[in-house]
Amino acid sequence: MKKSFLISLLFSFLFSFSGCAQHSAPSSSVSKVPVIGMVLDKGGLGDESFNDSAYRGLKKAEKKFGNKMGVKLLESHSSADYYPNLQALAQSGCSLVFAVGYLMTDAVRQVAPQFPNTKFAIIDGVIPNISNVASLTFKEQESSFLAGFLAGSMTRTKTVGFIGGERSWLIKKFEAGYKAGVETANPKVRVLTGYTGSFSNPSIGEEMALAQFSEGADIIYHAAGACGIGVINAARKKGKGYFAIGVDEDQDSIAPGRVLTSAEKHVNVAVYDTIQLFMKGKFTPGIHKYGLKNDGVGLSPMKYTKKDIPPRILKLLAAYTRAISDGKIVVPETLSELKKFHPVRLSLKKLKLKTTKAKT
Amino acid sequence: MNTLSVVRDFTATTFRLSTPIIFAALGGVISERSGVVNIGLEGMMLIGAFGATVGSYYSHNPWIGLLVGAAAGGLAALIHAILSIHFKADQIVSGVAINMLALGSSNYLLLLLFKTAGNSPAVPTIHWKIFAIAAFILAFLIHYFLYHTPAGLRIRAVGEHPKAADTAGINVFFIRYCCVIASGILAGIGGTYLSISLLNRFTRDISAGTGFIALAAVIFGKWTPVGALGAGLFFGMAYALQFVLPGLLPHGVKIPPEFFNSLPYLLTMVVLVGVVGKAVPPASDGIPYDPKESR
Repeated sequence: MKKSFLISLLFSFLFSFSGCAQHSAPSSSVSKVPVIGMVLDKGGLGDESFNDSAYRGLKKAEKKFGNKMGVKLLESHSSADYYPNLQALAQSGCSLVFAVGYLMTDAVRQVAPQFPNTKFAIIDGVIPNISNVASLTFKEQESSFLAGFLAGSMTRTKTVGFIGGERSWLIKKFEAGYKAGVETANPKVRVLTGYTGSFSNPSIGEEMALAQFSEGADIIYHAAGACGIGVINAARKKGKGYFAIGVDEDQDSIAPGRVLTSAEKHVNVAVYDTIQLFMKGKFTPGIHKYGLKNDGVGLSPMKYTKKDIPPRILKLLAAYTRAISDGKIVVPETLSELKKFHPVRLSLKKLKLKTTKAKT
Repeated sequence: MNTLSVVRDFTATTFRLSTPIIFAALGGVISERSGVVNIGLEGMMLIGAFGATVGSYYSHNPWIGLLVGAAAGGLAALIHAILSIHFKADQIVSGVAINMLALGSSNYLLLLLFKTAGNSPAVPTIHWKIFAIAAFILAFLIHYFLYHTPAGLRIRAVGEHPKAADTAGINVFFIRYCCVIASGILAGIGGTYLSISLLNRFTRDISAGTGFIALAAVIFGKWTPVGALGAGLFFGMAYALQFVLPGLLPHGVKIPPEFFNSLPYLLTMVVLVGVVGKAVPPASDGIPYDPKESR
């Protein structure tokens, strides 16, 4: 019995490592050039999401600065890896370490004070009060607003949908921005809201989308990870006249023509920007917000659908993008801010701001 | 939206979400009837889902995908069989190992073959109704097989009292191997359904706990195929309710979505406690058979 137990345990260990691979990009740290480290989250390279995006930013910086900087990369296979990975990079002499993903917030809080001479940057996490940590956050509500505006303008059924994963403050940002966008486009459009309670189950996402479609929605925006793949698949199965809106990355090609647009989050821009500032000696701790203004978020190029969108709506989208960038429109970040939100109508003729009467 | 269309949507959703649970649960019934607990259903589904995607991708034929998916599930089950029957390993530990193997290897191979850790490319698919109908027919076929054929009697004998079966000249190991592999094939088909029928690609951890629900369906169905079918339909219905109920609420009434998300689990507990009554597993379920031990 003991022997058999051991065998099965051994097997389970063997298998748990089968998904692992250590990537360590060749570092050109011959002597005194600063080395930029990056700890990736579970999912790692190839996740077509924020890990890949962060890595693209790092690569771009490496290209630009050439042999003036070195690069070190570590992947995390479980949340237990965060702390040792961050520590390892700091110990090995990296001068700037990226922690990719808000799940590493606690690990950064613990490691950063131990290495006061190392700078840390956490993506999506908020650590406001440690002097060597920069928090890179995104204004997802702004890209969601544009997605909502597009959905609200394009819907024929006067009903659109939103499907989130787990109902956290982060996902509510998407919901608030989207609803504000829909309301701005057309206050009469109804928004159906659903949460799948998971980020990994495509079939639940698909069924929820099909339910919203049969309740009258014709465009559904998702912020639900892999559940969203099911949402896109539902639009594909329903066919002409039905759309999904993708999130985080350009998901338009998952179902060409059926994904109206994708609300992208440019982690690469934030990473590149931070490295550039660091190389100039201008690294600043605290919270940095990346929005439409600094290309931190934005809509996809709409490769497959742009031809079907009336030019008037595209122009309005551009106008709203500008208005948000300039700070003339502040997109609500939370659902309580959404309640106080007053849509601002832009008219194409004058392209001037016209505030509607305040709601009571 | 009228009542008729609500009922129609609800029924379709129920069948779509029940089908993978029924397949895996049928596998679980066969395996446990022969006396081998199969915690690895979840992993076998995942491997099957991945295999099916790979098969369908390279052959451009979803039916080849189905074959590869079923075979991949069977292969994962073979490992479970070798560990738990031949080496008499703890069946729970071995099953957990299968689940870890499935998650690790599918993610790794996804990266290797498709250069992604997220979603595979789109592949040709099979219509979901084919799977749904097959699940129904299979449940009754397996029921007939287990309770009305000599081979079925042998399987049940091995699960209840392997020593007696052995004495009567039944090859306990052979029967258990066959049953575990069959359970892997069925779970693999369940996974195939998830990736190349319901969806048109593999996504990371696509099974998302369906195999564990199937495990509950085995118990809920009292280790019988038709019971597993009923339990699978019940779970599918519980999932489907969360999409229908919010639309039926009177205007202004708000219930947090988390309540609807947890509905399947709440209903399971209520039914297990209140309706089902005592569930008796096969007497030797989970106990490795050692001919040298006297029992």
